[in-house]
Amino acid sequence: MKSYQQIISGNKRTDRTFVVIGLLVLLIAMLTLVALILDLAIQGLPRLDWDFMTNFPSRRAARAGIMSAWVGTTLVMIVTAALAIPLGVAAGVYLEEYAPKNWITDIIEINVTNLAGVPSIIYGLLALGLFVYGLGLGQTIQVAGLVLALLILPIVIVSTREGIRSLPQSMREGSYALGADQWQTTVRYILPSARPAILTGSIMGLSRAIGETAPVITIGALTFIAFLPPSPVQESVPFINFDWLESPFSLLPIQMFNWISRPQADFHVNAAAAGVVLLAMTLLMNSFAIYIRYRLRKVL
Amino acid sequence: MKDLDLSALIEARDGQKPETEPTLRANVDQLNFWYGDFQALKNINLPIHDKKVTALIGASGCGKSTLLRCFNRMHDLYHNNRYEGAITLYPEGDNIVGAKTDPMLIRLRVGMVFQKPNPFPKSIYENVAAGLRIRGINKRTILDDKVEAALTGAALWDEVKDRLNEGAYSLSGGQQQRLCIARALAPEPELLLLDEPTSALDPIATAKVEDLIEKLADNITILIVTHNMQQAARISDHVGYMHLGEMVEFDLASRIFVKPSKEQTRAYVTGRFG
Repeated sequence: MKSYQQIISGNKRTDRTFVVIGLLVLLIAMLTLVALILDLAIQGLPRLDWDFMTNFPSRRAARAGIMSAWVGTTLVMIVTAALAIPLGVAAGVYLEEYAPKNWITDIIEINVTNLAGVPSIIYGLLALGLFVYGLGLGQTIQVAGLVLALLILPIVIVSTREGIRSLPQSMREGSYALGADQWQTTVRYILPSARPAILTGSIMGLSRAIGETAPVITIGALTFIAFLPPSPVQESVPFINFDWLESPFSLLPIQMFNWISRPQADFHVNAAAAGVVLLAMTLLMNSFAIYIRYRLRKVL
Repeated sequence: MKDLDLSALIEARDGQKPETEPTLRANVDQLNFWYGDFQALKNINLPIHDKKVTALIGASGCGKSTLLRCFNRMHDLYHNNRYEGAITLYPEGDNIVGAKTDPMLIRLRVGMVFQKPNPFPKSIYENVAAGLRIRGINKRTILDDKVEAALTGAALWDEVKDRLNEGAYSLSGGQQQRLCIARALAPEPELLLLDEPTSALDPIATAKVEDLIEKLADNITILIVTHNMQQAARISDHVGYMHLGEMVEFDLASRIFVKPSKEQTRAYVTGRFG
């Protein structure tokens, strides 16, 4: 029979082995990511300057810029967020709080989860047939926002549901015991408490959407566009307008894809620089979410 | 040994409280309750005296919490639960568990405090104001008064008056439970249900909540479920002893703990059973 001492040292050895293996695996993943980002930064950073940000695309690599691309990406993300977050949260709340527990709900649930796994090009084809030709919305910012919103809707729905499901039942009972109805309980206590999870899901979705290329190519994003969409603010009443929704557009990933497929090396540098900007925008979005989560936690 | 303790407690307390005309706040009549196919309550009869503390005691799973949760229709939140019989709420004489009775209306009239403190993730002030806001009261001056009154009533005002806008989770467990009591008190319920309100609290916090319950009983009818026999003896006027979904015995606390009429009750309150 083994002594306790032997058993303990055996267990400790297993623990140590696992720690080493875990670290190794983690390092492989992290180092790959760091190498990718470093490579992009070393290539792209020197090219980044004010002109690069404010110039439109050009046939000459040295004069080309990403003005229309980053403005397009920003505007499309605004449309995507404005559509996907309210729709996704509403659907998540309905499925978790209101929907009767029967086989129809089960089928909807399974389908929502499956939708998250549908290749994005399929969404592109759907949008091309339905929005661009069927509804005649054209190859515009609104269609890009719509298709990306559809793409990330399952992510928002699922994270909303998970957030709601993790709330203690005692909170619901507390609210109902005070005489609240379902709507009051949902709006006053459930949604505010699920906000961090909803926020995380929304940002995860938007981070995926911002880098999507396939569906927006399918609906006809432009790679050479030398003007900006109409400004959303104007000097006369009502001071805002939505004409920009119907403007043609370019996006950062599209611009990168176009540049990288050219033979000249100078354009490849441009693509790397655009990649750095894209990464920066994603990080900016994420840090904004972290900031809001931090603020919310302080309030509680 | 335990016998003696309990009767001493009863004597110490009954000396201070004069007996008054008994009026009923509620009456349980032939109540049956099913969780799906499982009958959890069998032919329960129980009077709830006005402005008294009625305690429900019994072993785990005896149905005492189930009975308590019938009083505010909490069971309606889950599927396949079924009531039969009546709980009459006086003076109007409405049947709480009647099929035509709106559970929401009952919950607006009957307050509840849960086993574990369950404050909302909001400020202390908003927690107490929650029930009032649900009732459409949003005027700041009225809310201020009622929040202060409820917190004073729950013996918490002095501890929190300078930090009303801080989060409720910043309070200790005992304070959170008194906050939940304040939340239930603010809308001035006709009946207050307490579901083992001190089981998650330490002895000092428990003592505070017990003092509070005794004080509250001057103005409000209380139905409390408790695991703790000493607690029932300390604070209750009437006691119902339940076993396997049935009400074995209901009587004045002084009789249940000193001279119960059934052997089963005696075995339980003296700690020889359950």
